[in-house]
Amino acid sequence: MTFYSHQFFLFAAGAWAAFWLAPARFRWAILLACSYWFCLCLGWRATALLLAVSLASYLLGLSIAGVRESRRFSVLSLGIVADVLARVMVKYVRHGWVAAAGVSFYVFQSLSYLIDIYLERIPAERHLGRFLLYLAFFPKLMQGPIERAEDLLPQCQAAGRFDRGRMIEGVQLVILGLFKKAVIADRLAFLANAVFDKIDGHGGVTLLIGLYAYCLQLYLDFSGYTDVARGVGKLFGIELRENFNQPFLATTVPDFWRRWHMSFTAWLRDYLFTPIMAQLRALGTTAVIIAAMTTFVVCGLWHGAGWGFLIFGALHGVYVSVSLLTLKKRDLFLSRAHIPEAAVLWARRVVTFHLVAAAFVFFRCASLGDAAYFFSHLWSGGNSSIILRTFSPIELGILGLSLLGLGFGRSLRPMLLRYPALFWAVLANAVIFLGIKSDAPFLYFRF
Amino acid sequence: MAGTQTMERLCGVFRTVFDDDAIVLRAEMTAADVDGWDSLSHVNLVLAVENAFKIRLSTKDIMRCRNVGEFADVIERKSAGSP
Repeated sequence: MTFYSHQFFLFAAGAWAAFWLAPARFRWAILLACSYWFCLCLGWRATALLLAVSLASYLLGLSIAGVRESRRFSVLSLGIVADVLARVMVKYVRHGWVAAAGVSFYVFQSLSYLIDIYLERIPAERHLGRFLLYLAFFPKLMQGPIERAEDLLPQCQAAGRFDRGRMIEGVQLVILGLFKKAVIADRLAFLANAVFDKIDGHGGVTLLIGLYAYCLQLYLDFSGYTDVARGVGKLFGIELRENFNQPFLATTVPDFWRRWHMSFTAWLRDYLFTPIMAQLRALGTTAVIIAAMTTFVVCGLWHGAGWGFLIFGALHGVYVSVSLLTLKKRDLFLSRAHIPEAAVLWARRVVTFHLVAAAFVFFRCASLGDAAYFFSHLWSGGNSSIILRTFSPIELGILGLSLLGLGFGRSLRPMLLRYPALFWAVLANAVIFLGIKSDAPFLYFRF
Repeated sequence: MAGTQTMERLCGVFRTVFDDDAIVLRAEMTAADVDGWDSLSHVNLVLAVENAFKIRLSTKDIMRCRNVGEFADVIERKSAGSP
């Protein structure tokens, strides 16, 4: 049951009605029942795993808070090992008996919950039902955002004040998210797939076009998913974290990671990068390099066990280390060179985008051989005819207009908001009539 | 809640580390509010604080702080000699 399916809409509408018709004090229970039902639709093994991880985290959380201070770290370690094992069992052991369904995302929530109790930033949750809901809440179950207990748990408790403005915002976010996914991302996929699925024979320009299409597809697919998740969350009165902030306008690679999959990178920063840096701080710059390389190799391998993901992570580790260690000197050099600020800004954006795109080659290519082909044929001619072979002129128009609309969305807003109903009606109709009707899953579902 | 004296001394450390005499600290400030407060300057900040206040912060202390106010509280507690 993906977000872009009739079943999901029937399910969400039913859940919404049941939720608001129920007395306020039972609403969390309705939401929990719906979330587990949603998970059951993904498979009973996935549900059993979710329940097992949830129960273990609940009990471990209580015992971290309850035991003597000297024992707390041992209990926390047990929780970390259990969570990592659950994740590794599903993703790396390919016996096929455990279905994934969001485990990568809720395991991170379980880890941050336990660590925060250990750090005495939050108390352990005593109410089992609300804790189960914190991990299972269905809009964010499959692909995040990765929520923090201090943000989501209080909302699980308070669930249920009907606010018309928030409902409208929720519906608008759902429409926007589906528009990004079905009208643009799934359409761009045709172009990216035409290049990457059979990479041999393509020349440099064609390869670059494929890569640009893929970067945009990945961004719109995942940020579209997040919009839908946040929108559905609002329909139940729950605010989920924002995951993207115009990542392709980043001016450095660390800046990119502060704008891309933010709930995940904030997690890595708080629970991996910072402790490593803190532990090794006497080493100075070496600590930065060790912390960045470890964090981004984990980030790469989180996506899957393959050389491509490992290289993707390691490349970003190198990018981030070099960027952090040289930023001050580069700033000083540029300020002395008297280059116009706007030129520096755009040059930085273009360079950052291409560094990120180069790493995405390893993310997208089916094999290292394909990635090697990509880089060795980048200067070998090619042409843009693949665009016209993939899209009809009408489809090109739809894509161009949609991308322009999204790109200039912020500056167009005052004009659009003069006729909001018309704007959202057009967007909703675009989703229905111009959306790609394949059952293409959201790209991050497989992680 | 940390006292004014600690906040003032901490502000001095911030101004040196971020090379900006205009910084004025408030308890609820986070990394997002200070220009140039990235992971690297965070480490420099911790080292400078340990040096200035003659204390040693644990990894747990560093992870626990969510804003300047909590940071100042930890510094005050450590300076007073409690764990």
